[in-house]
Amino acid sequence: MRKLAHSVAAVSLFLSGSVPAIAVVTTLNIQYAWPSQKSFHEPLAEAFMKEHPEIKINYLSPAASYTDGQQRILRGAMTGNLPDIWYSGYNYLPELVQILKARHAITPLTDFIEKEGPSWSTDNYSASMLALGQTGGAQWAMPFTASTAIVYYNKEILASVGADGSTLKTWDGVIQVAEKIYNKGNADGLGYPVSEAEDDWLWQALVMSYGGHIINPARTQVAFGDQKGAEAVTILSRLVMEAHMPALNEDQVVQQFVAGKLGVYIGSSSEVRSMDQNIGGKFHFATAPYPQVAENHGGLPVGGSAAVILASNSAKRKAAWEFIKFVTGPEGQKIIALKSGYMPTNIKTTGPQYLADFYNKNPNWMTSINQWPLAQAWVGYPAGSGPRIWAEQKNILSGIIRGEIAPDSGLKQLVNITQKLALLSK
Amino acid sequence: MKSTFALSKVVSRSVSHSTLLFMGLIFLTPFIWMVLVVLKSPDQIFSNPFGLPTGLKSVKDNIHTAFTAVPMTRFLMNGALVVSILLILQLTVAIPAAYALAKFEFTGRRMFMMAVVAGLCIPIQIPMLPVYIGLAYSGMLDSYFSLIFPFIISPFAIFMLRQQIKSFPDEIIQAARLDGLSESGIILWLILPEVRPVIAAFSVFSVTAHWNDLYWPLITVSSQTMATPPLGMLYFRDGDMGTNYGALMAGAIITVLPVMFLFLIAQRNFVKGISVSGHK
Amino acid sequence: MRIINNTRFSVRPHPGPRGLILAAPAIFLLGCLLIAPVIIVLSMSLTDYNLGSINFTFIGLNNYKQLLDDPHATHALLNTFIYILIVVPAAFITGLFLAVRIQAVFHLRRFYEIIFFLPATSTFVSMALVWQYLLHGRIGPVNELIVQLGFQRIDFLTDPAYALPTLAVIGAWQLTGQTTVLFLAGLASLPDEIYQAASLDGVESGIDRFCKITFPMLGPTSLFVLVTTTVTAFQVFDSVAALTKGGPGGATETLLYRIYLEAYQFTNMGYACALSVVFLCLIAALSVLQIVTAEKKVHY
Repeated sequence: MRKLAHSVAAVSLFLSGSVPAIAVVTTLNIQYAWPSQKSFHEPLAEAFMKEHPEIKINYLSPAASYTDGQQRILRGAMTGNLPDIWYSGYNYLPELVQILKARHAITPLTDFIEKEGPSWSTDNYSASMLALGQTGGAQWAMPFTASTAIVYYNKEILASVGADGSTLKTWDGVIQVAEKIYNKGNADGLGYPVSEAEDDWLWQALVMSYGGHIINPARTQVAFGDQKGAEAVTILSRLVMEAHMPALNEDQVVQQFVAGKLGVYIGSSSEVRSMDQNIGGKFHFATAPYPQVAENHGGLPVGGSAAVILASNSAKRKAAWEFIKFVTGPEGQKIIALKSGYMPTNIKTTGPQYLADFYNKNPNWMTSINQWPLAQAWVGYPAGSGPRIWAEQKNILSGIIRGEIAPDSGLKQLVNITQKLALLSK
Repeated sequence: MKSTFALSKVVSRSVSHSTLLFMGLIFLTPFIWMVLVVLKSPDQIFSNPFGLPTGLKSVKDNIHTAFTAVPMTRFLMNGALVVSILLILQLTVAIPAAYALAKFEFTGRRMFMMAVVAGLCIPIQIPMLPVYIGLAYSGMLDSYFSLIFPFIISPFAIFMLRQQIKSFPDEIIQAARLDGLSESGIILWLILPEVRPVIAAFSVFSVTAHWNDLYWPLITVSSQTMATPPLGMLYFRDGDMGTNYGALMAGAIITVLPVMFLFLIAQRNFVKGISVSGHK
Repeated sequence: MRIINNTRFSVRPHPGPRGLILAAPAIFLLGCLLIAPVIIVLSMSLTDYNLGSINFTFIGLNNYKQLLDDPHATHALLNTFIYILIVVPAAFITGLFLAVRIQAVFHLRRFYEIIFFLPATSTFVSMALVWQYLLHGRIGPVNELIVQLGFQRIDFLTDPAYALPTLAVIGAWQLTGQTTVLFLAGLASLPDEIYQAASLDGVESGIDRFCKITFPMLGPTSLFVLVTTTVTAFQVFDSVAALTKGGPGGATETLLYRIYLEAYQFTNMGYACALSVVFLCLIAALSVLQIVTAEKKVHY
């Protein structure tokens, strides 16, 4: 259909002779993951097409998750069916770039950025934000959405045991509060679905918050088997033993929290908007930073996606860059932030011209932004071993949480299996 | 004697009815909750699960969202198109084949029969990959063709139809042939009316299975215009930003209705009896 | 003159091309949509093909050796068998019971058919959330009921001991609609004369009648229901993918789900194909076993 439109446009251009150029419409096919994100992708396209009538944005059917999307792109690379833009999960970016580079199917962004002028990138993005889109020393992607893990809590339930947000600053605090809530009998204390999630993001958050690392810089060795990793794993073993955390999957934990029967839920900041909606006015909820381990210079993995250009001809690549500039620009990021809970990747968006007022009135949405200094890359394992590794890791984590595996032996198992699977696929 | 017999019949009937109604209620509990969710506003859903809603606003909102946040009508159309064309093609292929297996001798008949029985055991996930690669390399992905073609052959249909056709008296067929009726005439005028109950039953199973299929469309469909209803419902549910329960359940109920409607129509034909043994 | 009769071994028309022509489209499609892919899967199972890799090598039976040592594969097999052992009898017996009851009342028959068939039409994308809530270990209505009756809460979907049986019950819930409809059809085709003759012989009461007449006469239908229900149950996938994703801790990983994981998540195509071959052999063996055992008992 696209080809036909182009031919018709070309022929009419030719026949029209003296009439000045009828703009040829470039269509961009864009792939994203997580169908619910439709709520901001559509307004982004609308706003962009108003300013750029010569570019048409067409969204492909969204992938169910980052993992699913990665598979789609890889299949597409095999059969020559790639979209023009893909929003890749951060953890899959290094591997994606590696594979597509070899097939000459991905375009680096360095030239585009340079052409924007010397101060453009520093005006709009912090260095650490830009770093999220870099791999192998070059800028291959622009950060599109960003989130960190935060604590959601039910003010009323916490007040009933004499606690408030400040009690949740450390893991000890969280676990003690949870125990008190449980003993009171009306509700459960804590929900932290670290071993039930689709990916290892919450697990990496735990390790990194202790100052630990997942993998060494050369990407040849698992790095969480050290003292810091051991401390992180000990927390897991206390979740059921002390905090009486109920055995639930991700959906169920959120169901319980919005029903007002769970004191503390630790999850992604991107859920803030739907929390608001599903809780209604039933109770007052607030957000707090992820439990920190004081002086340890801990970090947190950034969840979200970055935009890569997979288009095959230069006209489309130019158009793709225009679109990416817009969606990661202050206006685009404002649209995203308001429709979700994602943090803006653009510095200007939190400024007075855009959302400063909004964030002042909605402190729940600020928490993730305040945590930004701790942001680190969400680690992806080499050569596609990620999903298999997580499948094994989550079983071990689940065993530790249920008390079936001792923390130190659990840690050894985690290190061994990760090392084996990550090395195997080299 | 007679009156006690009649009384015992009434008693046994009411016992049956109460048992059935009780079990029916248990079976329907998930659906009852679904309907209640559609009727309520988001914050009421989990705090008062089986309570009644307070007004009509939520229903309107949820149904409105289900239809406008995604092109639901388009998805429903796609689903309807795919399952109906598929069904017609399945029957067009299966009926002659079942007739041949039941009433004819030909070389390879035994092997064909064995292949049909073997085909009954093969779930779609197994040939999925080679079929996917074939469709990809011939550029036929993301089309109605890719949603329909892999399923046109239905061993289940052939098997069920063959059982029914076997019991059709040979002499009627012979007489028709002697009268000059062609084979396709025989199929249309003699066989088809006879196998109506089987067609009715098979239609329900086929439509239900393909209407609700998520995983094959998830792999082959990449543009939004080709999406089917289950894909449409994914928009309201994912682990990324949270679930919109009201709209999801509204979408779910909307997508169940066409299948139930078909079931109602097909029901009239079930009663004639799916004679699976081949005896009358 | 040919003798035309009406026994099971009736004379068929002369062998000729007509049968072949009629069956030709089906044969062709069967070949390219089922047989050929299975052969491809068989040959891929002897390689180390990975989705996305450009070339692959022939590795003989290595995948199968790996399979025997793989605890995940054997675990998935065990889970599948346990699942079948629960679902098939449950759906069979419930379907039979319901069909007999519905047949007995006859009025409102269509109404009951709809009620019990409704679960079979539901799609798991949405049902998953409904089940997750209803069976919620802390706030779910089912647990509320259990607690009121004086028992301990059960984490239906998240306790490794309960997750698989829970999925089996949900599976039976769905399959019962199918078995009920099939049994109803079978019952409807039973001739009335037999019952009348039997009542003259003194066989009056419900249970007696059922055991001596109804069930034996349902032989062929029962066999059909048994085989199709087993095959369907063996292929369980949707509920696992939507409700538990194989968890908790692999407790609900069934064979087909394992194959899906290996093929599409871990991109280990060659190995997944080997698992598929094993799967096919098992299903075929199970079906043949059932047919052969039942053939002896079923009268026509």
